[in-house]
Amino acid sequence: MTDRPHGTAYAPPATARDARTTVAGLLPMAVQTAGLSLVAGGLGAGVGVLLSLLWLRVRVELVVAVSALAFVGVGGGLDATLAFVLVGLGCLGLLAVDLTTAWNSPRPLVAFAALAGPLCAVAVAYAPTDARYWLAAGVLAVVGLGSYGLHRYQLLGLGLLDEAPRPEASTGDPTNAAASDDPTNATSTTDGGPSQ
Amino acid sequence: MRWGPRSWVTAALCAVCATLGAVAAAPILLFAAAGLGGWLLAHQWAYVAETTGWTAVDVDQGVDRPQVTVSEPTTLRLRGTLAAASPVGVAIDAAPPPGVEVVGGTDRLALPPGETEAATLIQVQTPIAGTHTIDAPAVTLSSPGGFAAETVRRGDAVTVNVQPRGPDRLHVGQGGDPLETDYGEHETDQPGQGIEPLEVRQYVAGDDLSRIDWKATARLTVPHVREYEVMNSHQTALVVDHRARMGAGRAGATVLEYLREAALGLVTNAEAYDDPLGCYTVGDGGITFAREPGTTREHYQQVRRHLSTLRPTAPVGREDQPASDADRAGDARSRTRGSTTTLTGPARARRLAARTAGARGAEPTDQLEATLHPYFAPTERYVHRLADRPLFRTVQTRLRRIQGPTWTVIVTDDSDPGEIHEAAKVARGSSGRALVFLAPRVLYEPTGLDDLDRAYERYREFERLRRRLSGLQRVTAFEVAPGDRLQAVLARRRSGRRSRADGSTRAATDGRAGNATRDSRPETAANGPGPTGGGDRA
Repeated sequence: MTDRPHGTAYAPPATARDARTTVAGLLPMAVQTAGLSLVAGGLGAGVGVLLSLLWLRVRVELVVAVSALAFVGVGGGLDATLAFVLVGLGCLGLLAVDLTTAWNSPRPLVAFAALAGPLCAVAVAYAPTDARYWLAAGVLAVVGLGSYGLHRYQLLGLGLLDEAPRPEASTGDPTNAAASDDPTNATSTTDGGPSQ
Repeated sequence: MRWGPRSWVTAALCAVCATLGAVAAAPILLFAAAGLGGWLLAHQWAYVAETTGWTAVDVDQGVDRPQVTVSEPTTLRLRGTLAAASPVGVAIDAAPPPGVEVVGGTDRLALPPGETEAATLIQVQTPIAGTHTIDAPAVTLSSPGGFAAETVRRGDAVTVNVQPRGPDRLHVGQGGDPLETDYGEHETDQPGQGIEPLEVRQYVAGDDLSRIDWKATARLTVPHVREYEVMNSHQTALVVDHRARMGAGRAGATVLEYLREAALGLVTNAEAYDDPLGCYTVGDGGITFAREPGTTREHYQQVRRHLSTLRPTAPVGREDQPASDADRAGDARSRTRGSTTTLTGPARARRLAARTAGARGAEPTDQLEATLHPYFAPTERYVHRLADRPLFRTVQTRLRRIQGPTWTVIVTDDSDPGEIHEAAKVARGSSGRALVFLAPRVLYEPTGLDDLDRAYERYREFERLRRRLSGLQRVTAFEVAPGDRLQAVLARRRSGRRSRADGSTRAATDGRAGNATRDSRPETAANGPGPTGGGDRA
C-alpha cells in the first residue's frame, strides 16, 4: 500500500487560470480600478493596478478580500456611492467569472446571484446601523448552515446516510479483521458535518 | 461532502471581512463577506447538484489470478468510465487491505475533469497466506478548484486467495511414470466370502449349494457357482524419515515437504479404507514419534497433525549443524537485505545461537544467554534414542511389536542406499509387504540441475536403487519428486536419445549399424539394473 490515504481529493493546480478566465476577469478588475481611482485619484488607480497584478498571481477570493480592505484603506465608504458600487460590482464580477469558468455552466451563477444578492443588499442596508454585528454573525451563520444542509443533502442523494458502519472482523479472517481496522478504509459516511 | 482547502480559506476570509466590517463599520467589508459567503455556497451547491444521485461512474475491478502463492504478484485491473464528461474530478483508489502490497503501478486512477475513461494495472502481492479481500474501489468526487470532495464505494470487491509456498507438481511414480492408481487398493485376488463379485466357476463337490449361480448354470448347462472377493484391511506402518538431510531443497520445496505430502496422502488413504495405521517418525537421534496402529478418527488426526508439523531434526552431537539448502537460501536473503533477523526455522535459529555462543560450549554463561537458551535449545524429543542407522533400527525394533501381516511404508530419500535396502528387507517381514517412497536428492538440490548430464546420471543411479528395491520380493519402491524437475531431467534423456539415434543413422550408413543400435537403446528405467540386478529374492 502507498502511504497516501484514500479519499484525498483530486486537486487541480491551485492557481491555474486559463486565458479565457483572464480575459473575462479583466473587465471587473478595470471596474474595480475605476472605483478606487474615483476615491483616491492616482493612488487609487495605482492600487487598482497592483490588485490586478495580484489577481494574476493569487486566487480570486483573496483578491476580493484585499480589494475591500484597499477600498477602506484609501478612504472609501458608502458616501462615495459610485465608487462603492464600482468596487462592489468589481468584486462580485471577479467571483462570478471564476464561478462560471469553473463549472462551465451558468447555473452556479444563478445560484450565486440568488444567494449573494440578498446578502449583499442586507449588508449595504444595515452596515451603518448597530445591527451590523448581527449582520456579520448572520452572514457567517448562513454560510455554515447552508454548507451543512448541502452536505446532508448530498449524503442523502448518494445513498450514504443509510449505510451501516463497517463491521469489524466480520469473517473471522485475520486479514479481513485487519482490513477493517484500517482507518483509510473508512469512507466519509459519517454525518458529522463538513470535515477535512 | 468534505470541505476542501479553498472552502476553509474562503470561510476564513469571509469571517475576517465580516468581523472587520462590523468592528470598523466598513460597509464594503460586510459587502465582501456577503459576496464571498454567497460565492462559497454557490460553489458547494453546484458540486452537490452535480454529484447527487451520481450513477454515471462505472468502476470495474478484477484480478487476473485470484489464486497465488505467497509473495507472488498478481495484477489488479482498475477501470473507470463516465457516461459523460463532467467538471467534477474523479479519482478511483484501489483498497488493498493491510498486508497486500502494491509493487507495481499506482493504486490511484484519476479522471481529470473532462475525461470519460481511464484504466490502470496494479501489481499487488502479499507475504501473508490467507484470503485477502480487496474492497470495492473508493471513488472520490472533487469539485473544480478543490472546494469539496466526497468518497463513495463503487464496483465490486475482489478476493485473492494466497496459498503458502509448498511443494507443487508432486510426482509419485516409477521410472518417471506417474502412479495411476491409489496406493493401497484392497482387492486380495483371493476368492472367499465377500461382496465384490470375482468370477464364476464350475461347481465342484463340496461347494455350498446356496452359492450356485442359476443364471450362469442355465446359460452354460452345467452348474456354476459365483465366487466373491475377500476384502480385508491393511495394517499399515508408516515410517517417515525427517533427519537433517531431509531439509535439502529450496525454501518450501525441500525433500521433507514433498515426502510429507506423500505421507499425508497415505494417511488419507488409510483413513478412507479404515486401515489400522501406525506411524513412526525418525530423526537423527532415533524415533521422535511412535503410534501403534489404530483406526480411530483422533488417531488419524494425531498422525496427520504430527506429519504436518514435521521438521528436519538436528544432527546428533553437532551444535553447529549444517544448514539445509532452504536455510542457506534464507541466509542469502538476509545478507541481501542487510538484515540478520530472518529466522526461517528452529534449525537455523539454533545454528545462529550456536554461532553466537561460539566456543563457550552448550551451557549458557551469562544472563542473556540463559534467558534465550530455552528458545534455541533443541526441541526434538526422542521417544527412543538410536545411535546408529536410526531408520533401519526403527523398522527393526518397532515393527516386531506389530502383530499380523503389515504393510510397511518407508518414506525417505536415497542418501543411504544400504540402510534403505536393509530396512526394506526387514520391513516386509515374513508375510507383509513393504512400500518404499524414495526422494531422489538430485531433483531437490537447488544446483542439482545445473548440469543436466550429471543430473541424469545421478537420477539413473537413483533409478537403479529404486529398481533394486522393487526387485525384492513383496517390496515396491516409488519415487517422490518435483514433477517439473523430473521432466527436465527426462527431457534431457530424450534429447540425448534423439542425438544418439541420429548418430546411429549415420553409423548405419557407415556399416556400423549393429553397434550403434545397441548404443542408442533408450536409457529407460527398464535399462537399469533390473529386478535381478542385485535384487534379493529371499
